[in-house]
Amino acid sequence: MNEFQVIDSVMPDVPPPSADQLAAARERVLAATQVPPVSMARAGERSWTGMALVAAAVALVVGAVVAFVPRPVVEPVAVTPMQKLEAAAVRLAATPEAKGRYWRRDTEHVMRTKNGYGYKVEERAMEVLAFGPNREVYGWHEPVSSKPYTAEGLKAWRRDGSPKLCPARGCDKNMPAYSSVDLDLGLELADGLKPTLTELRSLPKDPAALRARLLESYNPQVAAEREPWLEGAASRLITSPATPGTRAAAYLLLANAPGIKVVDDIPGTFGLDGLALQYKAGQVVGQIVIDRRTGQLLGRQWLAPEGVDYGAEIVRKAGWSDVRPVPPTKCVRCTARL
Amino acid sequence: MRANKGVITAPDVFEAVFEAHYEEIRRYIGRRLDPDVAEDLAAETFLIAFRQRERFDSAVGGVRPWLYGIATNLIGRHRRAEVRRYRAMARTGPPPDDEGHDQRIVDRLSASVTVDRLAGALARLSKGERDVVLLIAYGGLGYDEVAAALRIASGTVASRLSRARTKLREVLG
Repeated sequence: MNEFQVIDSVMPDVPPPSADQLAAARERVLAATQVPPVSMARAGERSWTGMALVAAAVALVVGAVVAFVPRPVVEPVAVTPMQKLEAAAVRLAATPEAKGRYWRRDTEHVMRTKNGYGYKVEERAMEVLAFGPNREVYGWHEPVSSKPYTAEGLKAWRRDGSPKLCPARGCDKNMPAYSSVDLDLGLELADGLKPTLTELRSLPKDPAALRARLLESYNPQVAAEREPWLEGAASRLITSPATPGTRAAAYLLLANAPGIKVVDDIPGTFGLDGLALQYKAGQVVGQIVIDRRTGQLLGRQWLAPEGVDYGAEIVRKAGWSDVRPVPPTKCVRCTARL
Repeated sequence: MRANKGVITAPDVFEAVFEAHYEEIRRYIGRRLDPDVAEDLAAETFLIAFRQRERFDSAVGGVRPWLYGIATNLIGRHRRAEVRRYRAMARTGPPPDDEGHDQRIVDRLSASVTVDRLAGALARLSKGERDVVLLIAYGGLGYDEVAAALRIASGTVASRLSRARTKLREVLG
């Protein structure tokens, strides 16, 4: 225990505010933020009582003359997608984490494709990635279902004799699940950057500091371009067991990266509804979708050039617990060591 | 969390800042002054932050250091009350622990440091030294964040800490 921790543990603490106290403080502070007050910056010198008296006096005067003067035009405060992302990132960074020995992420993969059939099929699979306390890593991909997804596709499938579509559960009894690509990557964020879990968890929570720390591992001999390398690392970071603060910083790092913009109007075919970090990869548009309220990562989706979303990875759950992951039976090489 | 200069302009962004940091700012103030004034000064911290939001500059530091800096300035207006409180604690021991938390008692005993001696030592620090020590101890700020919060150079943080450590050594060992 260092000297600061001694002071923190020895000196008396303050009980948390009651719900009523918190509500009163929230009301008091947020009421003031509804006034467009930039020109009143000097009001910081005034006491709250003074402000209240001034406000009351203004209200009386305005009330007296309101019938004779036009209503003042209050310019709406613009809230850009970037500002919304900032707010979401603040919320994420302040989110406490559950405790546990295992970190696990369950992602549902959805892909709309013609695949080998003559009609459109929606394939679904579950992918799990987990890390344990003794450098163990678990990762598997389990096909779930393949179904025709449009009225035309359904008709074509029926015309075809309603065959069982694969990949799906039960298609391959010898290998119902197989090792995921992420298992091999483990905690690797980019070429030449493979932190341990401890190192990952201690990455900076500030975008500028995070950028600087990541770039310490950048090697132009290994990766040709620095910014794409950095974007790749940041985009792996947001799906990793990094702390909420680091993941929030990675959002902002991505949001300010060249070629990435924040958008707040995305197609919701797969149920993803949130802010998105949008980027182009060739003809395809990728969207990293973030919950506006909590800042948590909801998933990713891909849009065809005409703007139709055709594939998604939906985060079903992610976090820490004491439950050891158990790969499906017959899952070969679905566990490894970092 | 950093934000670019001037981005804390929209009410809902500011609301998120309030939700994320109100309780820790209130706790910091309450531990330095008195729980009774913590509510008022914590709210005042956020009101000042909102009024001065155009001045927020992420190049100087993140939102947390900025808020802690404002709170520390407000505490500075009550410096005498803070020192009086430490001296009173040094004479009479700590106020009753509202939490009554067994773990805290265990921690206090295991630290082999008594509240009265530590309070006396904190009272003997200069305001600048106390600000640095308690921003780290109570706020969990790093040295660079303390520098950003107090708008002083990192070297000044280091020298204030060095002096404070010397003064606290007889208590903390």
